[in-house]
Amino acid sequence: MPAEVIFQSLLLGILQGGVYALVACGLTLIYGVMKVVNFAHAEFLTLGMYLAIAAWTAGGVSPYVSALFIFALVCALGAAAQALVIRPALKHPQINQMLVTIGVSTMMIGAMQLAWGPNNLVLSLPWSGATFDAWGVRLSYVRTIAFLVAVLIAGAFWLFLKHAKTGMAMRAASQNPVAARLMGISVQRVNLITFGVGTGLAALAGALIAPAFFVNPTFGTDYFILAAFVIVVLGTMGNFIGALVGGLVIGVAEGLGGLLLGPALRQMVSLALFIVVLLALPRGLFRGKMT
Amino acid sequence: MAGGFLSDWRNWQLAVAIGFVVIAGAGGAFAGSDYFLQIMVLAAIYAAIGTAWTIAGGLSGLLLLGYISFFGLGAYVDGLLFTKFGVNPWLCLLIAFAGAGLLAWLIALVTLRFGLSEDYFAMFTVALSQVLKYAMLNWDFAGRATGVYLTVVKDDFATLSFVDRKPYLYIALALLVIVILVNYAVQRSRFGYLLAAVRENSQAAEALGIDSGKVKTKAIVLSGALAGMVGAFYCQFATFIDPRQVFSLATNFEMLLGPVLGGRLSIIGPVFGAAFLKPLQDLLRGWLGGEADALYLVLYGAVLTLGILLLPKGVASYVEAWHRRRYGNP
Repeated sequence: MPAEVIFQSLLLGILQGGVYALVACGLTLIYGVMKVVNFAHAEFLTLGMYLAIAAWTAGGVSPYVSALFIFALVCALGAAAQALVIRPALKHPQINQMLVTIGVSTMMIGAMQLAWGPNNLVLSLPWSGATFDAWGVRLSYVRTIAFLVAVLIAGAFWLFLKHAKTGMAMRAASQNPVAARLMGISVQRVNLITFGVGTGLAALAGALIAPAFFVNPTFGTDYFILAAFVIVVLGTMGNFIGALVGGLVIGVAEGLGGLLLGPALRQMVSLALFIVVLLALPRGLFRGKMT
Repeated sequence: MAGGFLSDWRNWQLAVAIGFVVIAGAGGAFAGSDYFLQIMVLAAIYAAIGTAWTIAGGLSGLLLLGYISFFGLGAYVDGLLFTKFGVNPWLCLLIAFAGAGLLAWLIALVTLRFGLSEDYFAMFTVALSQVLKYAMLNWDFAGRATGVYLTVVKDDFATLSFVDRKPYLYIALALLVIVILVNYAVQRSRFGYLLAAVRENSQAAEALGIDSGKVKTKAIVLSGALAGMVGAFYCQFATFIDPRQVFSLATNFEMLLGPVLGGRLSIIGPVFGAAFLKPLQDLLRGWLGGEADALYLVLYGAVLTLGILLLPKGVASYVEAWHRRRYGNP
């Protein structure tokens, strides 16, 4: 196999990994703070894609502009979902919590299908297919921008977690909810913000990749949710940096795996990795440490 | 003894569940349309799957969220062995039982040995079901995406193939009775008490010398094996299986809805849960029509979410409270 092809798969894997990382960091934060595995997470990504398409077709608004509004809108939506169905479920057994998020996922898939139909839609920017040359490899602008913005936002979010008061409250609630409450942090408010921001980031990632993919109501479930699970488990569930590193690792592994095994088995790569990770590193790369 | 046999909650449930199955069988004898029989057979299959699931998902307290792996594996064991090698389907039921039990044992081996926490275990089982789906989608011998077809030309009890739908109902109900009896026997046995100890307080159970890993392994093997057997029967009944259908996550969660809303520590919960929810799903689908599949998803998701929020312990817990008052048990 020529080195050039391998290099290309590697680069494409990194680009995909950046987007994965942005999706996974929301999922891992939600788990870290609430100990809830959000099975509806990918649906928020799909919703972000649809909203970006809607903004483009209705008003000609570029996804790079609408992404901000989509983020804010889905933040509010996610917070509402948290208040209405996730919070009441927190005191119930874990299986109930998971099934509640599955209920939300089912409702969202149905609602998106009602609104936009079951068929593939596409957001075709005039330069959707344009590529440029990077070290002898052709890369698409759309994917590269999505990667750069995703990494930038993930980095900014990391600074927010480290230095902003709300961010520190989120980390505190994730490390020890009881102690956080004793320090005067409203864990309920932190939960609300975390779920809102976490799902908002997934929607933001969706808006960024909307020009690069066909979208249908189950897009997120089909292409993102299992990868996101693998990433958060690899990076230790609840660990933010772990999700970023894990995103890149899984992106590259899928890229190279797809090259070796063919595109049909691409998904198998992340699933196989999932099993290997669970067996070899059951507590993730970061030995069970959170954030 | 006041109340006798029925004063025990488990005995009472057994009597009610078996009585219900007998009534369903008698009712099925008068069922006119194949559509109606189809729904009844599927409800019986879901009830059997739900009752089998509660052994691991309820009694042992394992977060066995991805349960359809066993069902799908059983379906493929039957489909492939019957169509490619001519193995008798009744024997396939037993092989599927053993095969799915083996899969469950492997899952327990890798997950419990490495001390996976409950959330990881749940995600692992969900991921595994999708691994199996993609494996089947890419396996030429298993027909890839088109799956496996069985051709049925005449009624033949020996090969578990019928043109008429009614025999399937009786066999499905017989399988349901087997699963109910197994669940009942587990609850009455020493093993059942070990499960309760591990479920309620795993550390305390360990301190008393109970090997909780071993107890949980037994529970998941039994639970998985039963689902495999039911899956093999499903293949005979449906005469057509494909990976997206028998490893579908949507179906997976539909199957768990009965036991979770019905009561996952009970016997009547999964049985009546499926008997009520499965026909409701099918009627809703039929009533809304193919075009309104999306509306069905919204309604179904809402029922799932609300049901779980409003009935966290399942309906059976209310029946149990009534039973306790009725028979004056403390």
